[in-house]
Amino acid sequence: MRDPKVVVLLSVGMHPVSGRTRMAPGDARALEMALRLSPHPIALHVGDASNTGLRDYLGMGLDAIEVLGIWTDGGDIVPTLCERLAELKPDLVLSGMAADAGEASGMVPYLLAHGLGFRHVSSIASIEVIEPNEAIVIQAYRGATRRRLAVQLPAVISASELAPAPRARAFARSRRGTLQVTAGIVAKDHEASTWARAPARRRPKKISAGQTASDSALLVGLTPDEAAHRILDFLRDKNIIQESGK
Amino acid sequence: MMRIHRQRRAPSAPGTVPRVDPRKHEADTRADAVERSGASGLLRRDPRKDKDQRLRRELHTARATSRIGQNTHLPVAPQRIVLADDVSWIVVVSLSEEPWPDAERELLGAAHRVADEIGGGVIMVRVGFQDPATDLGQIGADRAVLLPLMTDPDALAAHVVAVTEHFNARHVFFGEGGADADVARRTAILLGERPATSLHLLSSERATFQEAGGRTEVCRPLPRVATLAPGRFDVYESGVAREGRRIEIELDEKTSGVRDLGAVTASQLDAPLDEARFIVSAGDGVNDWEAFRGVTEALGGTLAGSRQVVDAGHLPRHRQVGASGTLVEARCYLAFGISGAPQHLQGVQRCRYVIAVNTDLHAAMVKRADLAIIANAQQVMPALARLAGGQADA
Repeated sequence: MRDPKVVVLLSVGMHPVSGRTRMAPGDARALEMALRLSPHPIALHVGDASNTGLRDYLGMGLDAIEVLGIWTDGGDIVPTLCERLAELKPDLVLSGMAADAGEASGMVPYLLAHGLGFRHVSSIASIEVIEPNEAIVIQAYRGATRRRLAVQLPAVISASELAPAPRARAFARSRRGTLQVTAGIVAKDHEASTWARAPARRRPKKISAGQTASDSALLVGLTPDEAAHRILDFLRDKNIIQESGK
Repeated sequence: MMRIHRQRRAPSAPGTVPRVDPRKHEADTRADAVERSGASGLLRRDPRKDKDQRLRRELHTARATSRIGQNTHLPVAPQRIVLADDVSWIVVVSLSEEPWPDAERELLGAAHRVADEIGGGVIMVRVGFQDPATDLGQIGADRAVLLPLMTDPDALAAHVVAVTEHFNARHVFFGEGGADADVARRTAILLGERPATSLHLLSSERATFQEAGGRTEVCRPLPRVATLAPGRFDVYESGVAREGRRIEIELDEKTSGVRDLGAVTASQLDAPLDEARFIVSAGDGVNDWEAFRGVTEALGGTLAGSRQVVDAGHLPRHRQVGASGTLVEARCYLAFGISGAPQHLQGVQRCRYVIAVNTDLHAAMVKRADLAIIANAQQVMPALARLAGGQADA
């Protein structure tokens, strides 16, 4: 397809150590993916336009970011985004897997796809081809082989942490880019406001000793062929390699 | 000839603290009791003496148990099995490739804690391969529903919803990671629920997770769908087995707008290490590199090595497993001639199964391995390649 209409959703992240605002790493990967597809993707952000973290995205090569709504704490970004996306009618909506700050439940792309009636594929490492009514994408999970999927358009695509790293930012571009604020009402997230919040406590992770299975075996004095048989049997039992020819 | 005369030390002046020979001092304290009162009048424990006593006690118990094990046969009590019928259910879903090594057991353990509070039972939904050696009752499943392997998460979520509604289950738990997290969110959408994700603490009423990048802890009522963070929950170990009864459920075929076109590459030989599923790794004990590559190819694994072989230039740097290389999350790790330095073991910490072939019986890798074979890698590699290759041709 020539010039697919690509929208990328950007949130503001938070550095895990210093707590400073920055671009969210997952969304930066989604923007990298969008910039490879189209030179001028539409970037949407629901939140506070004065946030310096947004400038980092502009530095990656965006001309402008559309900032929706008048932000107050405890807002729900999904209705606002849904409304704007319904107006824009994009072919592809790109997002990260989960926000860096806030509840970070990773539900936004699912809710948007549900609300707009789009297809949604998650954990995508790259977009290979965009055809008139479908996109060929590569799905990647840790510890699993990459799979090629064909998804019907329009679709919401979440960029995996295994997607190509975002390009370097240019300071001049980040100053030059504009943040276009569209005032509007951002709905309140009433359910989340009733939850009890407290500063996080350090909770140690459970440590399983060595993680060795209880039925571990130590075999001494086997011939090489016997050893090979035992290894192969183990691999088949645990479904690491499939039995061939059956 | 010179003779050295040792001079007598002058007696110390009255009022000064006498100097104590450290060796003699130690002997003196050891003779005393473990607890002695200090200057403040409180009891003080002598750590050295304490340790001695503890070691002796442990040795004694170890001897006693080994004696029982050798000479007498203890009667094995028939294990109690708890049945659950007509109770409120909790569904635990685990996909074929668990997102972290002990995901399934941790999920079942957490679900049982909640089930015990509400007087319910746990249904395990297992998608894809199920290891026949695992006793589902022992790991805490009252019922088990085995579903065929599905690559379409939408279809899978629809099936999970069907099972949930069939049993009218109160909660559905998933592991937070990989494809499991994806299916969890799709299930929540289908059920119209707002899920609690990446939970750190769990009870029948409250769910605790972290937000704002781990700075705030949020406590909310436990919703119907939840995902659990890795390594936060104890596995099910009560000594009481559950029933583990298999349930067959008729499920309709579901289709969605996503087609699976299959795996991207046929060969996994040079897949990125952090995505590899099955890694074949070489250490200092390997010097036949042709055979090593041959066996990796025959098994369909991914090449990797320890720091030593990468430093020696046998493999490129991005093939190195360990603290200074890649921390791998493979399902299975086959190590040829790797002794298992702590930094290397750190790299394979998240692997589910480890197989070690090594000539040293006392290597750390052998202790970590699920299957350890004491043999020369140079002889095992060609034999394994021949066997696996022959099977593939047949």
